[in-house]
Amino acid sequence: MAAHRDALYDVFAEELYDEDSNSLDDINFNIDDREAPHWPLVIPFNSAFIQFDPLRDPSHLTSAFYEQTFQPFLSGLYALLNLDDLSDNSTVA
Amino acid sequence: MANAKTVDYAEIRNGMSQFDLSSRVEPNDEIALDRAFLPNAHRGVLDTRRSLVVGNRGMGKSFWTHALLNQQLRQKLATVYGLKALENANVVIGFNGSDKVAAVAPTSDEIAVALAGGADPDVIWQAVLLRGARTARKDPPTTSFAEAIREVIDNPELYSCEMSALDDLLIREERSLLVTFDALDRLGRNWDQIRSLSQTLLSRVLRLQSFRSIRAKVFIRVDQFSDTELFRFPDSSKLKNSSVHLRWEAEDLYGLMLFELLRLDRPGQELRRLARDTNTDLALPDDGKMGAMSTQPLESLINAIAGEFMGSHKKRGRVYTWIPLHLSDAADTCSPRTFLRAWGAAATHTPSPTDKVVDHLGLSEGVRQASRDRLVELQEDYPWIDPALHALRGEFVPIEREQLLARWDQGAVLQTILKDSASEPTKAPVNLEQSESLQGLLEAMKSIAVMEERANGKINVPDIFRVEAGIKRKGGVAVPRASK
Repeated sequence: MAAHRDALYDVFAEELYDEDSNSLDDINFNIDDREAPHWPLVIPFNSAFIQFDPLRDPSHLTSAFYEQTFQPFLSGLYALLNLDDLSDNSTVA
Repeated sequence: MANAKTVDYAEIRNGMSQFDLSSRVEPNDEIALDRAFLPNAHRGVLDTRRSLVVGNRGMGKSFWTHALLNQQLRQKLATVYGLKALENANVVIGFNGSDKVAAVAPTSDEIAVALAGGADPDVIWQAVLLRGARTARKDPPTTSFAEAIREVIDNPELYSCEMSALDDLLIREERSLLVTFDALDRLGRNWDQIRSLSQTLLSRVLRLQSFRSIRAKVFIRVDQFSDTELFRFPDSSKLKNSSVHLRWEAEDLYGLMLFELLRLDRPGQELRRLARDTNTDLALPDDGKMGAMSTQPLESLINAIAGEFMGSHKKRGRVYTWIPLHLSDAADTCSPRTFLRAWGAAATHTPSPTDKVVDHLGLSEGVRQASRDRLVELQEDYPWIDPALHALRGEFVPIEREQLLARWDQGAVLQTILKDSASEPTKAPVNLEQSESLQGLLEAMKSIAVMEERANGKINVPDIFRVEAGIKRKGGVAVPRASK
């Protein structure tokens, strides 16, 4: 995971971030900045989704089911979209 | 109405600008009860069962070495951290690099004389521990260090016999003894000598486990701890595995900053008013310790002090995370002095904001000044950082290892370091004298957290050192500034 984050940083730095002029106006981020664009929102593996079948079990479409795995991702997404009221504002992976 | 008075931000700002940054603890300093802030993360550091404490420059090694001497403070530490063993402990210093002749701790010169007189390093530490243990007696004898050395040499059984008797006495009286050691880098004039004395000390400290009521605590620098040669003695892994690193987490750093403000009369009053107005009283570290379990009130209070973002928009980063992130070294920690320095400098930045204590412009400048000071501070202990970073000026990080080593090679960095340290060998990295290689230099840079090896194998320099050294972050897009 850490190597993947570093690889993401390389891509963002080379293709998207501003060249470094040590100014607060630079669109350029610390490699370990969890709030930076290159920091991935992680969806952890959950074996429960191997059996995902909402036709057989409609509870698979309830938030109680999907949030076990997707809650950190959704929180991060809501925060990025400025939908903070939908996010618990704490669990960007 | 008195209650309706608004917060006087200028008063808090004034307090911040007065932060005492000169507080490097010198040998034999006394730490007053009201000066001690108790970070949540430092419980392990003070636990008497953990004999080895590792810390970089300015992280608090000397502070805790000397704070433990204060009996009132020990009582408080015992209560706050739930460390009962500190309640009835006698604490003495076994070595702290002091030049003043003391009842227990030898000076560097006394050690040098003992070594020159043929004393084995282990005899030296037996003499020190013996003198320390004797302080537990009702009428401790005044034995000079040279006399104690002589006693141990003349009577090889003296150490174990007398230590056993003193241990029994301490057990009967439900007391304990803690001998602390600091500033091991001042034990000798070169790393071989320092390593030999340190290794023997650690071995002797490990053997204190034979006693029930006598313990030692050794505060050691990160570069010495990384020296694999140091731990080449039987059972050293026991000591190494139970070691604890002195670290400062973000909430502890903020807690310290608030604590320092609360110690000041008027700024402290205004800070309390601000906390009351923002319903964040729980964040105030009353009595030197952090209050709330959750960091939410603390974050809210910092937002009230400095605004939430490093600019007008959250894309610039949140102040609460931005400051520690930009002041952290490769070990992901920040020295308390550096943190206070950043806020202190932010408080003197003009124009001052009217709706908060400091703003993002002040903080940005404060971080820059604090970074500069931190680099200078580390260069005092590790002067070889300077040529190692200088050779990378204009480079981009993270950098491939081979590219880094090539730059050092081209810049003759190793030769410069060896030349500069020829007359004073401790001015070179601990393990460089064996390896004399660029790889050894990289390991040294990593050991003091000025560089880090990333998961993808590239070498990075954290912002706190990178900016001042003129090393750049990667960034491929040239943006015309005028269009902003």
